[in-house]
Amino acid sequence: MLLDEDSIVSLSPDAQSLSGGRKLSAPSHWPLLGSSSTLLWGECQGSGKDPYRISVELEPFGYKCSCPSRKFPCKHVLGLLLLRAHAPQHFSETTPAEWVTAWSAGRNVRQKEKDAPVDKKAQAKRASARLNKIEEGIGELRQFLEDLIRQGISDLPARRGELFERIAARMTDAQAPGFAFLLQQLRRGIDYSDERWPSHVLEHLSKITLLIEAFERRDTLSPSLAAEARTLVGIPQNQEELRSRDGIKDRWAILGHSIYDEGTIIRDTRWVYGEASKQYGCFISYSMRGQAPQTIPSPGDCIEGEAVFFEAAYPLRLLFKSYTLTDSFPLPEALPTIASALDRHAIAISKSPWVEGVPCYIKDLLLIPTGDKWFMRDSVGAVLPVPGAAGAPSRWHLLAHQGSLPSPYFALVSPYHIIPFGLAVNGTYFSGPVRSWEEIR
Amino acid sequence: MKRYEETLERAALVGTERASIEDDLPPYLADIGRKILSNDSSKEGKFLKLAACVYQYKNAGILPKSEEIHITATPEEEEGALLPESSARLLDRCIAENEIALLKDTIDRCLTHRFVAPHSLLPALLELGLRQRRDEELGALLRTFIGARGHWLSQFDPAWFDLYCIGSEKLWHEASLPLRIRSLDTIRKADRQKGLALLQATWNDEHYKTRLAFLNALSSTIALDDAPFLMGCLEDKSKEVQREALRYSFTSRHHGRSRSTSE
Repeated sequence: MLLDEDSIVSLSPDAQSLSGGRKLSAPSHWPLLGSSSTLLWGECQGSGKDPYRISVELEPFGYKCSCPSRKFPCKHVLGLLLLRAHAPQHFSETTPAEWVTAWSAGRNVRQKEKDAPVDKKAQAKRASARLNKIEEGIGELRQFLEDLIRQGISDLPARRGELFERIAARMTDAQAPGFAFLLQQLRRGIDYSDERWPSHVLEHLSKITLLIEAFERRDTLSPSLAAEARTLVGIPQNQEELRSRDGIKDRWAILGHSIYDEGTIIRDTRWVYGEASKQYGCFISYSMRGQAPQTIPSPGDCIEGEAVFFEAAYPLRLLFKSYTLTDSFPLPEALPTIASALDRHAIAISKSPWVEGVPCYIKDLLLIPTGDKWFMRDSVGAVLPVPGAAGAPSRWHLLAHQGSLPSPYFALVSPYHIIPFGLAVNGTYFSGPVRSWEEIR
Repeated sequence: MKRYEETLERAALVGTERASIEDDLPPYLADIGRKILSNDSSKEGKFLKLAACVYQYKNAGILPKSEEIHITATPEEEEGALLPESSARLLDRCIAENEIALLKDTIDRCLTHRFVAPHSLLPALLELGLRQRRDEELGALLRTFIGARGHWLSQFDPAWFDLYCIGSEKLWHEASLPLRIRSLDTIRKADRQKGLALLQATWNDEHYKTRLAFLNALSSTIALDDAPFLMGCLEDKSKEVQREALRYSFTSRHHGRSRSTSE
């Protein structure tokens, strides 16, 4: 990788990280700095007792930092790169520390595995074996659901932990992580203190049933619905193949960001809106805990690039073949009311019954805290609850920007709740910080 | 629609071993329901498929509820200018890295130039003030720096409210009743007469239910020197307020006597 200012700036996930990186690019922040022909490393003193450890490999480019930041690259990585670009004399050529070589060796092993030539026959054999495993798992899941309904769900609040944990683990073993995720939602994603929990559980169970049914009958469904069912079960779509398709060239405003902690896997979702195509989409990246997700910039930024939607009955997920940062920020055309957003939701579920919330930009919404519960009210007085704990940080940011005057909001809307991600005040878009699982719940 | 959904939910709760769901399909479910019930899956499988149809149908037709909920107060105009977001990054870094000395110095400079905190930093600043509540110097700086929007925002969180809003006259006039009661209680615990003066200032304009609520709120701090106020309440327009005032005037005398005896 070329270590000049421009290429380092283009790596920055947002302006704040870049600013932080610039401040850390002074040698005084780095008690340890080192380099070899392909590696850079350093220790950066943060507010904690132990310094953060940063390793960068130049070819193929990659990095790791021990800080807890969820921005990739974080300010420490950017700081190290900027320092190298401006003052390489501070990096002594030496043997890398053990923590640097261990990280680099692991990377190389993974890279070699990735680069190995594809054995089509073995690939087909693996795919067939996986399908068998999934079908076996689905048989057990069907039996589990039927037993649950036969015996009744009245004691679910007390035994949901063990019950759903076990079957979710079984689905992971059966290589059907999509089912594992849906089952985990029954444990963590439903508020059992709400008196309507039986309705929510039954609805969720019925959606899992529909997915089982769709997956088993995938050969008789439309290609897009079959593809969606396969993806939801956990069989990934071939991204290389998607990249080879023609995409939508547009300017994409990044409107929202959420992070779901799924145990060892972190799911990072960025919601985007295309100015000319008028399409919403979400860019999802999965990464192991502590590893950098390969993602796009943060809310408030805009990118110009070619996006390809994953195949689905109601396509939302997309990937970018390429993009560059641009200055303008196109705001979507706003829907007038919450009811009009629910119309859009009705259309979405008529295409795909598994759609949870639909992305909408709605005018004149007011975020209203009332004790522990928060609501969104529109200009005609219609109200939807905002889920999650009152202490959740992003809603406070939104409220701080909103004040007491209604504003257009970008949100995910379902008949049961609305999840606000950002709002525009006097034409400037503000977005709350990253939302966690607990907050969405 | 609702009735059939409830039937399904009851059946799910007790289990299909003990409940039947096959009778009485609603009209919208008649065609698809018959197909589901005539296929070869198990009773539970049929039940779950029927449930899927019911919820799909329901979710496609839900209209949002209308409710009369409002934001209680409006933030005042800021007296200073908002610190530009670009300059706010230093503050953001100070908060993130807990650099309190640098933060105080920066806020002090901002205040000298009549800047108030940008809205994006308010939650973090309010939270920081709470974490560092023993630092009186920081508290004083923050109370000014958070500006009108910060004071407005802090009324919605009980802990922020206690730290930033207690004693605010604007809040006394505009906040919700629970917040006003909380405010009164806190002020009374620090300075009973000041709290009473605040209450008396608006007493005659309050709704009788609000007056009753305030009388109840006074009960934990009531004492002999509240007697003149309570005597006045015996002439209140509301009989309920008169009754409560009479009860509390006995309590105040009792408290007064207990205090004199112990002294």
